[in-house]
Order: sequence, then structure tokens, then C-alpha cells
Amino acid sequence: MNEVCITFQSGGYENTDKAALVLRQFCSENNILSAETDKLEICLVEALNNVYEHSYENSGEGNVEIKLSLLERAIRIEISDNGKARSSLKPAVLEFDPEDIENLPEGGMGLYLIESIMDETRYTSINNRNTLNMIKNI
Amino acid sequence: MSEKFAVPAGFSLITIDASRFTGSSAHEYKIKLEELISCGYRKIIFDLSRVEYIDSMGLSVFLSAIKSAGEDGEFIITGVNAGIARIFALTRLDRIFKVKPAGNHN
Repeated sequence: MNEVCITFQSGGYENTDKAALVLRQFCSENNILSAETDKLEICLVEALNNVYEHSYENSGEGNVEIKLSLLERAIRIEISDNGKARSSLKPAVLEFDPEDIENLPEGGMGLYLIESIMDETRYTSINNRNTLNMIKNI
Repeated sequence: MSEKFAVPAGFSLITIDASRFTGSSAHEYKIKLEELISCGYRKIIFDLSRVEYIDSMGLSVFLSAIKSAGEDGEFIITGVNAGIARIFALTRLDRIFKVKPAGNHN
């Protein structure tokens, strides 16, 4: 099985747990090492969190399509939604002073994790359709 | 199966009873923790031995709680598996919280 599609018509964060289960199955069927599977799971979950939190603003509504593909030497995860587009395309930074408790970040960790783990990420927003394309070499 | 370990003096123990500490369970814990902190609890040991996976929503529960706890706040996160330890290291939140692997209760 080289490609799997998952569609959620509504719902919220609970869908990230369901999608992670499908990803784990997909990786196991394609003999992906468990260390790589764990990293892919982080990226899939964080990308979906961002869709539900930012694109759909915690409304519990909204279509999300996920496509998992096995490429020659990589795994591609593509996630599309019809929500609000990302306002910034700058690379995520996560810098904080551990002594400065008051100013610790509470957001931005997801994108930072994705960009740290994935070999390639590309975000597009065309005709109200946002798509995040993530590639991890294996 | 929960592991037994000593809770340091002055600390309260909270067990995170979710196999996936993610967006689907994080909000509930965030509210509970806010209540505890507003009642004066500042030093908390979190038992994550039942947690298999944590995401940024789960991590943000600890972050928002330590902010509310302020300067007196001290959190120890124990019973973490290798994957969870990796997330704390990747986000460098292990500089804020004492993170202890499963089986290490010292």
C-alpha cells in the first residue's frame, strides 16, 4: 500500500489521535523503522493541531484531508484544509529564557517541531485551500 | 500498572491518566491544574507513567501551569518514556522542568 487518504468532515483534536493510528499502521505495513514512525507521528499530530487551532479556530468544524505517500526514499504527508490561511510563513523559532517563567512560550512549538524534524516542508494557500506538504527522507 | 515512588516533601502528586496526552485530553487537565494552583499548590510532581505519547498541546498544559505558579513553582515530570523525553529535549522544555525517565525515582 503506497498511498492512504484520510478525510475528516468535522471534529477537532480527537481526530489527531485517530490519524496517528492510521499513520502507524501505514508505516508498519511499509516497514518504516519505529524511530522514523515516531518522528512522522509528531509532525502529523502537530500539523493537525495547527489546522484545528488556527485554520478552524477551535470551531470543531471543517474539512481536513490527509494523504500519506510512500515515495522512493521518503514519506510524504500532505494535509489540506479550507480554513484560515497562515498569516506568516517565516520559519518557526523557539527561543526562551528558562529563568524568565513569565515569558515562556505556550504556542509555536508545533511548527518548530515539524520544521526541526522534516527534511522538507512547503505551505501553499490557493483558492481558499491550504496545503502543508511535509517530506521526511527514510 | 502504576509505579510506586516517593513524593518529595512539600510536593503534590498528579497522575496524568491518559495514554495520549494530546489536544483531546489536555484542556481538561489545564482547567484542573489552574484550580489546584489557585488553591496554593506550587510544587507538583507529575506521574506520566501511563502516558505513551505527548504533543505540544500536552506540553502547553505544563507551561501554562508553571506560569500561573510563578516563581515558587517547581514541577517534576516523572515516569516519562523515551519518546516523551525526546519531545522535552527537542523543545528544550527539559531546561524548565525536571524530567525523569520511567524507573528512575531519584
